[in-house]
Parts: sequence; C-alpha cells; structure tokens
Amino acid sequence: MEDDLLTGIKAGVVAGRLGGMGDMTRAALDTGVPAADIMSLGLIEAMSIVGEKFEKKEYFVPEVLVSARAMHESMDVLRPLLEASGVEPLARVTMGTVKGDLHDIGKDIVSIVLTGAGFEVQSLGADVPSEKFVEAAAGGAGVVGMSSLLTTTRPRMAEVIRLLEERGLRDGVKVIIGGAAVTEGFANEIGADGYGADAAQAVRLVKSLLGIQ
Amino acid sequence: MKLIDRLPTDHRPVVPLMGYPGVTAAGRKAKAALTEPVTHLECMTLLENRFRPDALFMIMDLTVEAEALGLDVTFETDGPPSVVSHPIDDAAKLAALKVPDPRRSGRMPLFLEVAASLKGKLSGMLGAYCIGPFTLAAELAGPEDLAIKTITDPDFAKSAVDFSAEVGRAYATALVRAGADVVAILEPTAVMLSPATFEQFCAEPLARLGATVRSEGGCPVLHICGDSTHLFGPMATCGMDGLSLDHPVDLAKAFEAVGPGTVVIGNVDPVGVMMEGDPQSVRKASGILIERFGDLPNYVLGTGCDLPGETPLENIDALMAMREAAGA
Ligand code: B12
Repeated sequence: MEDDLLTGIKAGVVAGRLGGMGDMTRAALDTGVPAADIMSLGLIEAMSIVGEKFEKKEYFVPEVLVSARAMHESMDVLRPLLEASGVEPLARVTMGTVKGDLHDIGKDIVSIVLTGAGFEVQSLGADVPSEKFVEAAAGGAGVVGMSSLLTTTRPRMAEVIRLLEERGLRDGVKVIIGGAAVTEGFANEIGADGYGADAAQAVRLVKSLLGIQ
Repeated sequence: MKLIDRLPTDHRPVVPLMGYPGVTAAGRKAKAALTEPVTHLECMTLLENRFRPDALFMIMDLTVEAEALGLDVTFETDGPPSVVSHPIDDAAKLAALKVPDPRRSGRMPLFLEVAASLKGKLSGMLGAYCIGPFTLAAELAGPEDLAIKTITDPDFAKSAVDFSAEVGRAYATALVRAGADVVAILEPTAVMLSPATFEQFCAEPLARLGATVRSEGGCPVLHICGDSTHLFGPMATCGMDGLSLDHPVDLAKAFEAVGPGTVVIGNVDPVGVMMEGDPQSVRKASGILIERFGDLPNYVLGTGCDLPGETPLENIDALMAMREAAGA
C-alpha cells in the first residue's frame, strides 16, 4: 500500500499528472510514509527520470515543465513537514539569466532538474543585474548559476565573478555557467568553477563541485 | 514562381541575414533604424551597395506583430528590441484581440514603406520577415506558459497559435504587396517542441501562412534557429519554398527531408565564425558547406541566423566572395 502510493507519486510526476498530486502525497503521509522518503524516493527519483528522458529527447521542454508543476504540487504539501523536521537540502543554488538576456527556458529546465535532484534552487529570473547574483552569494547560496544565450551578454558573467572577488565572497561559492553563448573554454577563461552543456550535466557538475555522491 | 526557380543560375546564391551589421556600418542605433523609415532605408542601401546579396533582408525585428497587438516593447539594449511582458494569459484576453491592420498598426507601416522604397531597386530579391505563429503566441502568453498549455490547455494553445497565424497572414500579405519577394517566417520558439507537438500546433498554421505568401506571389521560407533537426520531418510538410537553418544542424539531413524542389539556406555559424572569426575562418567554414552541398541546385549559402551588429564587414565580404568559388 505504502509502496503503491510512492510508486503512484513517482509515476504521477513523470507523467505530469496535475491536480491530484497533493492528495496523493497526503494519502501517503497518512499511511505513515515519511516525508523525507516521499521527497527522495518519489519526487527526486521521478525528476531524475524526467531529466534522463529530456537528455534522450523523449521529453521536450513542455513535458519537463508540466512534470515540474506536478512535483511542486507534491512539494507544497511536504515542504512544511520537511522544514519542521529539519531535513536540509543538499545545498542552495541561485540561478538566473544575466542582464540584457531574456532567454529563460534553458536555465529554468536546469533549475527544475536541480530541484528534482534535492537542491534548493532560488530563481532570480532573466535579465538579472550582476549585483543580484552577488547579493545571493552574500545571502548564503553555495552555488551561483548563470545562463547566457546572447554572446553580447557573456561579459556579464566575468563581471559577476569580479564583483564576488571584490567583496571577498568568491571563495565561499561555486560559480557555474551555461547556455548557448558559452563554452567550457569560456568558463575557464573567466575563472568560473564549471560549465554544463545541459541539465543532466549541470546536476553532475554541482554534485562533483560540492563533493556529493 | 517558386524560390528555386528564382535563384540566379550564373553564380552560386549567397544570402546573409545582416540587418544589424548594416545598422552598425551606418553608424546608427537599432532603435532609430526600427522607428524611422529613412534610417532603415539608409542601412539597407549601404548593405546593397557593398554586398549586392542575392536576397537583401530588412532588419530583423521579432516584436513588430506583438507591438501592433498592444504589447509593450523595449529598445533597452542597442540590439534587437524585445517584448516586456506577456499579458495574454486566458481565452477572454485572447478573444479581445483583433488582427491589426498592417497599414496603420504599430511599426508595421515602417516595414511596408521600406519594402515599397526598395522594390525594383535591388540587384537581388527583397526579403522581409514575419513572425511565426507559435513564436508570436509565446510572446502573447509567455513562452513557458504556452509550452505548458500545449499539454494542460490545448484549446487555448491552439487558439493562440491560430490567431497568431491570422496576424501573420495579414502582415505577410501587406509585405508582399508592398514589394517583398521572399518572406522568411521566423519560428525560433518552436524549437523546444517535440515533433508531435509541432505537428499538432504549428504545422497547419505555418502551412496556412505559407500558402498566403505564395498566393500573393511571394516565396515563403521557414526559419527556425537552434538545433531543429528533430523537426525536419514536420517542417518539410508545411509547404514552404525553403528552409533556413541554424549552424548546429547538419544540412544533409534537411536535404533528405525536403527533396529537390525546396531550397535549403544556411548555415555558417553567425557568432562563432561570422562575428568572432576572420575572413580566413569564414572561407574555411563556407568552403566546407560548398564542398558538401555546392552541387545541389536547391542550396543557398547563408548564415545560420541573424548576424550580430558587431560582425566585421570583411567577414561578410568573405562570405559573399564564395559566389564565385569553385563548384559553382
Ligand atoms: C527560443 C529562442 C528565443 C525566444 C526566447 C524565449 C524565452 N523567453 O526564453 C525568443 C523568440 C523570445 C528569442 C529572442 C531573441 N533571440 Co533567441 N533563441 C531561441 C532559441 C531558438 C532556443 C533557446 C531555448 O530556449 N532552447 C531550449 C533550452 C532548453 O535549451 P538551452 O537554452 O540551450 O539550455 C540548455 C543548456 O544550454 C544548459 N544551460 C542553459 N543555461 C544554463 C545555465 C547553467 C548554469 C548550466 C550549468 C547549464 C545551462 O541546460 C539547458 C537545458 O538542457 C536559441 C537557439 C539556440 N541555439 O539556443 C536562439 C538564440 C539564443 N537567440 C538568438 C538571438 C540573436 C535572439 C534575439 C536577439 C533575436 C532578435 N533578432 O530579435 C532575441 C533576443 C531577446 C533577448 N534580449 O534576450 C541567438 C543568439 C546568438 C548569440 N550567440 O548571440 C540564438 C543562439 C539563435 C542564433 N543562432 O542566432 N529567442
């Protein structure tokens, strides 16, 4: 029974079944499944399947976005319980598209898959002033993720890194970048900690930078 | 006449999308070129005189149709303008929109005026842009919200895309009547869809828009940027005269998908090669394309997408020089 409910939650997120995820989550909690298990065995596993399907081009952007909504329906029920029980996210990641650039789909997909992998992701949106990334680092984010799809907006990434250095924040935070305008080489050039070509790589990258298995 | 029958036969056709380098070369601002017909025309004249492309496209602007529908547009960066917000989030707001009259809505008249001024004065064809139905619907409703609604509210998504196709048909009709020979339908946002979703929402509206361009005597070309390889199948069913494709794709697959009557335009990397490279790298990249596809009568050498304003003009010279290169 408990297993059935967990399997149902997982399948519901993978299939992007909206509207009933909250009830299903409450039902699982009622039968005694711990919130942390629903999170890790239900939602996180489901989103890693969604991430794999996206990588294999079985899923495209709309499917991933709908799965993310289903995950959020369940998470809204779990969040207060997890917070009360003191379960910590793996780390806090701040994600945004740099100033002047309005392409937000790619970085949202990365945020979704990172959330699904157990990270707490704060989304700054698109067209984000460099200062905002720095504020997020000052506020305790362990990882700052920046996206740029327009070559003309790439220099903003170097600017954020420079500002982090100036404020003495650079050593306390990992900086990762991605998006069509940047490459691994560019990441090295500006002194970022890593580059991710897609969402699945972003998860591997963040885990390896933070030494998480 | 179809595009393939309008291509030059005495040399290899070359068509870069170079509106913004024209703005830079004229020493103008994007905002001026996109709000003042004389300035737009000045940039076009400069490009025509220097490059004499086989088709000269006007300056790309993905906000014209959305602005004509009442959305706010910003010219904040000195590059292409963009739509500020996406307020059309339900069926009632969508139903309240009317197809704008291109002769008196927003900046549509500017493009009609520039087209009319250039008509008959170019060495090659005159190209105009019109936004694709899915991309316009995404500007109205928000790209992610529209993407989600293709699954959760397909009726809304369908109506938004259908309405957008009607906006495009009215504008494209006016562009061809004003003098455009080719209308490139810009559908970048559809690159995020699966082939099935593209077929369900985009194929028919695109075909309808393309058919309108053709019935007015223009040549419809479909342009999707990014890696659109997975969409080649359904794109080939839209009845276009040509596909214009971006640098991440292998054009060989596109030729397979469309057959010999449809032109394939592309796909030198607009940023990595055209903007960041030098004439030597342009010759190298386009030389590879010509070696592979130069013998095909339905191949047009072009840039994968719109060139950034910072592209050196010498690099465009190098691309244009490929007209005479061996294999022609
Ligand atoms: C859809 C699209 C648009 C939509 C954007 C909708 C939106 N709100 O996001 C619209 C139509 C509005 C648009 C507008 C423009 N666009 Co556009 N657009 C695209 C397109 C076709 C797809 C982008 C996309 O969403 N892909 C799907 C997502 C899922 O993929 P992704 O973004 O690559 O993200 C993945 C990875 O990169 C990575 N990733 C992304 N971010 C991050 C961050 C981190 C930290 C990590 C680790 C990984 C990571 O993971 C993601 C998931 O796997 C690209 C083509 C391309 N090659 O990318 C052009 C493209 C980005 N656009 C381009 C241009 C030029 C423009 C315009 C200037 C066009 C114009 N002339 O008006 C405007 C600019 C508006 C602005 N100021 O930002 C150019 C940029 C050229 C350049 N290098 O400078 C591109 C590359 C097309 C081209 N070849 O020319 N565009």
